[in-house]
Amino acid sequence: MDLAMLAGIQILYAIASLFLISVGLAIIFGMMGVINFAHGEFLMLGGFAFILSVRAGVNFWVAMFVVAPLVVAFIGVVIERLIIRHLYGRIVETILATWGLSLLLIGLASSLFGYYQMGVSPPLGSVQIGSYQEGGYTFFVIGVAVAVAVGLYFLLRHTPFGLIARGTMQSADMASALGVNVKRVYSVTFGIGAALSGLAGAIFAPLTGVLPISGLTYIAKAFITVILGGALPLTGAALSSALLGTVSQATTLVSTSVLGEVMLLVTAIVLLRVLPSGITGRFFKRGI
Amino acid sequence: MQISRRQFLGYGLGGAAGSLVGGLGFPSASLAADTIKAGVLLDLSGPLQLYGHVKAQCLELAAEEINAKGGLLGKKIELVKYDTQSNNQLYGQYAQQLALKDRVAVVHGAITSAAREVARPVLARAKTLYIMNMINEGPEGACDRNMFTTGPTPQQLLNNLIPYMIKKHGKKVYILAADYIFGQLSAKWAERIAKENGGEVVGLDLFPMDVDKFGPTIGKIQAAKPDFVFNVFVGPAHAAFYGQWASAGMNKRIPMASHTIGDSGEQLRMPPDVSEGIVTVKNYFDELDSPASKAFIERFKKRFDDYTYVGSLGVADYQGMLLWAEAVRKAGSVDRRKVIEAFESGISIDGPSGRLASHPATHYCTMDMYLAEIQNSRFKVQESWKQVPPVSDGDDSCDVLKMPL
Repeated sequence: MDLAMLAGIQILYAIASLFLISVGLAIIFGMMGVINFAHGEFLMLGGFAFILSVRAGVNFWVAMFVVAPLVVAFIGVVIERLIIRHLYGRIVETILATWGLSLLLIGLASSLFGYYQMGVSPPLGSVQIGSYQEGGYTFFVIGVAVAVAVGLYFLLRHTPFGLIARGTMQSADMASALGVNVKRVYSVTFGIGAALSGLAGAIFAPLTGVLPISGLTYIAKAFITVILGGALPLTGAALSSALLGTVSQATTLVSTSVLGEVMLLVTAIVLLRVLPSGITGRFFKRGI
Repeated sequence: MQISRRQFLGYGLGGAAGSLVGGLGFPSASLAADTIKAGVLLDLSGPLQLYGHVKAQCLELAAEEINAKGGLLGKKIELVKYDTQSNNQLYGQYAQQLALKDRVAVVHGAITSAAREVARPVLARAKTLYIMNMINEGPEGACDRNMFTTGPTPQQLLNNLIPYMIKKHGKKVYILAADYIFGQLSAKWAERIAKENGGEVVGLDLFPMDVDKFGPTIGKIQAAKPDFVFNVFVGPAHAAFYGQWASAGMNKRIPMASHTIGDSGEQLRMPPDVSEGIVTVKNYFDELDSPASKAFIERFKKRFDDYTYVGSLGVADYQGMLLWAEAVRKAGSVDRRKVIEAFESGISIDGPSGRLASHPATHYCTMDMYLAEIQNSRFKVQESWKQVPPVSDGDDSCDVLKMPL
């Protein structure tokens, strides 16, 4: 019984992790059609921003919820201005440019921060579940994922910006004709996506530490989750995280982490064969 | 510029002739040189720089000290270094380059056993002596007459560590290991030694090098209820385990032993409450309270201004260079055959870790071993054993002397 509960928490945690690492990418991809290969590096930069500011004496939570998202959002907006803006609608060029950016950021991080980062231990102690113990931080990650999902839903569904952003997503030309500054919407949207990536990077930094190549461990999973999710950024990311997280973590629990990864990929491949335009390409089309 | 066919042929032939002459001329030139070239293959960039940086420094220090004392056979040692960039493919390419182009007398290097397995056959084929300065999985992983290994084997590490843990905490052990030859064979040895000492393995999990989330594993360990956990973690991603283990509060409930912790000085980067109480066995700690060790650390600090921790991996390189130099002195030549025979005649040096002696039959080394516990981010030595052989007495599964030279 206790073990089943622990397994349940682990599965929820896997879903929350997948959602957090992919939601920033989903926003940028879903709203703007930009394939951002440097997404993993946004997470890495968020992690570094968090760890460096904690070491510099900034409060743990301030560093996580304020410093890391703001730093990465700023970097994201600058990158959008300098690179992405000139490549809208040109998928292949965007992939090349962001891939190059990814390599550049890894190189910069290697020479600036190196591989010798001090660790920061996760706070919140541990929670007793029957005869088992689980890190309190696990519950925190699940909580943040829910908060991010609810917050995004509110932003996109119930604010003027959300309405304009969704309108721009459906038809940029029409929005522009109605007087919307499309460039500004794209810029802000990219900033929000980057900020969420920075937040995710900061959240996982105490658990895994940060290395210049940390982004590489996230990027594949994030892309698979987003592609499987389909056109709608929020609904898609949430649904495909739920599906892939459950399958991979359940497999990991009964066998090994390698098989867990394999199952994640197998599920994604099979589902994309059946639903080529992702889950939200077929179901829940009225979501966000 | 346009190039006619005639010109093109001329260039081509000229170039070919040039390289042919160069190829033929090179060996005699290098024999006449007044330096002895020693090749170095280490990862100085990428994730494994974590280990490679200090290892390269130690080789440099050793070579400089030998040179300052008049060199080797009256010649200076010149290091030819290649950065393998944490990329195993480059080991093959650079090993070939060192052997065939630079014509080095010896190659020191490789960090992971997987990288070693790339470089080793290349160097064997090119008849270039190879010295591997790493903790390793023992002769079962590599038994080779062309290679000497100066780091400790699983038997040196675990014959004392596992029984110590069983005696102190109980007989049920859960093993976690990196999923490649070093981790797999080390885990197998741990299992064997645990069984020989009345222990029981209640779980074994292997992890690829890039796994950094261990939630399900920590759940499984709790379900298996071991008396202690033994791990063979390698690299920065695996280091994430300790934080997650402590976050679940397990570090206060289940004791942990590891013979890889501290290999990159990570105990100094981990929060002290996370590393407290972890037990390890190695042949060297910077904290060793011997005159040789203290003097070594002083020299290291004086030479390099970025000292944080040398550890057993760095010292293996320092001592590897000294041991090779000793073999060369005894052989009176850098000739591969003569150096191998000198090593097989039984040589030893006194290094920072104590006496390091060649073990002729396996080409591994006999050395002093120390068991330590992490207390407040420092290794505190609890027990020590003098001159532990690399394989148990009577174990003749590896006998390089039967192999052709």
